[in-house]
Amino acid sequence: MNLCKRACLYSVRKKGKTLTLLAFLLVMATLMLTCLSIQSATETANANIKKALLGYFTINAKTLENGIPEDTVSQILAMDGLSGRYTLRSYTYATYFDADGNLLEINTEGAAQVPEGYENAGRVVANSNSQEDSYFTDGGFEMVEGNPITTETGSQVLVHEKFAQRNGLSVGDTMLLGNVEDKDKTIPVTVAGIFTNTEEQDSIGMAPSYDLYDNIVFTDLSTASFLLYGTEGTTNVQYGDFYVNDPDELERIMTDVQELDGVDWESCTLTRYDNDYQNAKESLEGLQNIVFIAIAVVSVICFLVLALFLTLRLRGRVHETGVYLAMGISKGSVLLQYLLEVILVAAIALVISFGTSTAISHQIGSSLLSQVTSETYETVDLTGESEAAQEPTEDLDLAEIEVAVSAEDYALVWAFGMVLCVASTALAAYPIMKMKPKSILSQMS
Amino acid sequence: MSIMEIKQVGYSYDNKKKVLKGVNAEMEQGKLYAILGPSGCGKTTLLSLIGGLDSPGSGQIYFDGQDIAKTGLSDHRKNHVAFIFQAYNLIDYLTPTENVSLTSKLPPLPILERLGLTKEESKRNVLKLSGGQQQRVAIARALASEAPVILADEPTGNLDEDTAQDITDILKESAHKMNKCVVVVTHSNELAKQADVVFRLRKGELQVLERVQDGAAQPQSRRNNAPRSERRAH
Repeated sequence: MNLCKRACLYSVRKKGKTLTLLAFLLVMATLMLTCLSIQSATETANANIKKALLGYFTINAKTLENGIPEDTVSQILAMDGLSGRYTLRSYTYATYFDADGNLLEINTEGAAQVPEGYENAGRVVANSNSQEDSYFTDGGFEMVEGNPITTETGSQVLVHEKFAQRNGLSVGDTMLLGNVEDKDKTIPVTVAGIFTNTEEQDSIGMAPSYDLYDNIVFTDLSTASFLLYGTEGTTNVQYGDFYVNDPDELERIMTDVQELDGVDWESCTLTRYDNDYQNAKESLEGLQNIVFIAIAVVSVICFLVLALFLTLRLRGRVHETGVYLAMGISKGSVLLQYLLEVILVAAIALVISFGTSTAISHQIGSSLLSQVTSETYETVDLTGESEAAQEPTEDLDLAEIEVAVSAEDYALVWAFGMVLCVASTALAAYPIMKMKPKSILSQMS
Repeated sequence: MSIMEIKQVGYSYDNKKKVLKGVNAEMEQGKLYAILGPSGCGKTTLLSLIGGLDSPGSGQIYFDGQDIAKTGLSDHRKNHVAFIFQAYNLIDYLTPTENVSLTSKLPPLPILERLGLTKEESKRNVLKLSGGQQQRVAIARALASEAPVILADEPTGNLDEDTAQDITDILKESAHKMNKCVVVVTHSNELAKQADVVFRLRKGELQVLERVQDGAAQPQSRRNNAPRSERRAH
């Protein structure tokens, strides 16, 4: 009779012992798989957070006389680790004229008093793509007619629907933007589009006239650069937001930026924006640490309990071992039989554990992850960084992450289970196997 | 022609208490040997050494002219000898037929039936059999192995008188009809009386006893401490 048959007969005939071992291994395999699937889900969540809550840094040239030069922006964009996504922004004020140089009428109704010279001015917002401006991304403004403005569109503007109606402007018309402090410095622009506001302005009555929605004009960076710094042929900007691929790399990239030549760091600031990511990451790391500790504890307990269980079981089989050895069956063959018995039960436990752990990990994992998710959402809402950076947070879909047993985790648990069986059986059988057959038979008698 | 030969075998527990002091013996196929002696005199130890369960401290044990220490104890146990124990030592999760199949590829049922077990009893759990039946299974296992040497340690120790006689008869039959070399360690004078050769182990030395009809065996005039070849030379 070969050892496989002996192992099968033992497992079948010693039902109590087999079922006890099966129950223990099933619990352990389920716990292990559950922990691993939660860990995988948190890793996915972490990757999603990285995608959704992109880290970025901002250069603010508020006190820099000529703004951030175009070549500095080019140098930054050429650096490693940047995602290629960036937003350049400038804000200024301008007096609006028609093509013939006549003042255009702005809305002053209910507005607060403005400084001298700003009576006919409105706010000019410029960035690399008007559609990426927070006024539009937040849904406060929407296009009614025409096209958005980008760096490629040339000297163009988007005007408010009411401003256009008030002054008889339509898409394709030309108007002039004039420097508030130097009336001779004007630049002709074409009306590329008309927008409107979907929400009423909160601060009406308190806001100066140039900040009223009706009076805001969106234009390109080159036009704003002319109004702000008087530049022609080159585009200097006030603000630059640069997104990185991996928020964990942000610190290094910012250090590299600070080492760039030709930037006067005394008069411009470099600000890091990754609090949302860091806070969200912290919540997930907490869960990951718990899961990691759980895996370690389960592994150690699994090994110790299994080794103890098998030690007790094999102690009761000294008699049998002695008989086998007296028959000339080798120690290796006897040890393999004992190992095979454990592996047979472990295999059944592992197969069943796929179902049990799928059910449990879905319940527990989803509960844990939703707790972390709500913490993450709260964090994002509280800091509001993403909003400030015109970063849509709709992509942050942590709740949709499925906690399921992956093939990789399942294979890992199989491998670990088999190693555990071999190690525990070897440890448990060692005291018996090192004895001489006569010593075993003496113990028997 | 002896199949087992024991030459100057010595053995001591933990290198202190010497239980065997230069034991010599020869055993042939077709004979039943009984080894008598007081408890703790080393009978079972001698049987273990003959069976390759342990190695002697000194001397050699030969099977068919070859030193078993050189051919390998595990190989000796597997191919040359079969054990029968006082406590039967059957594997408790196997049936009698499966126990017999452990050592043999021969069909187990004919052997078991020859030893008095019915077909139904042969398929029961061994623990549900009587002591005598269990010992028959143990003997069947030993016989099925086709080993030429059967070593039995107190095979009738746990059995009543009638069953013990049955087992003795089976052992005698194994020796005489199946040409086995059967070596029995026993305290039973009844069994010893029916053996072909009786040894007595005393103070570490093995003596051949004369068989007597009144029950107790008496020592022969010559001692069996020297190998037969040496004795012949004298």
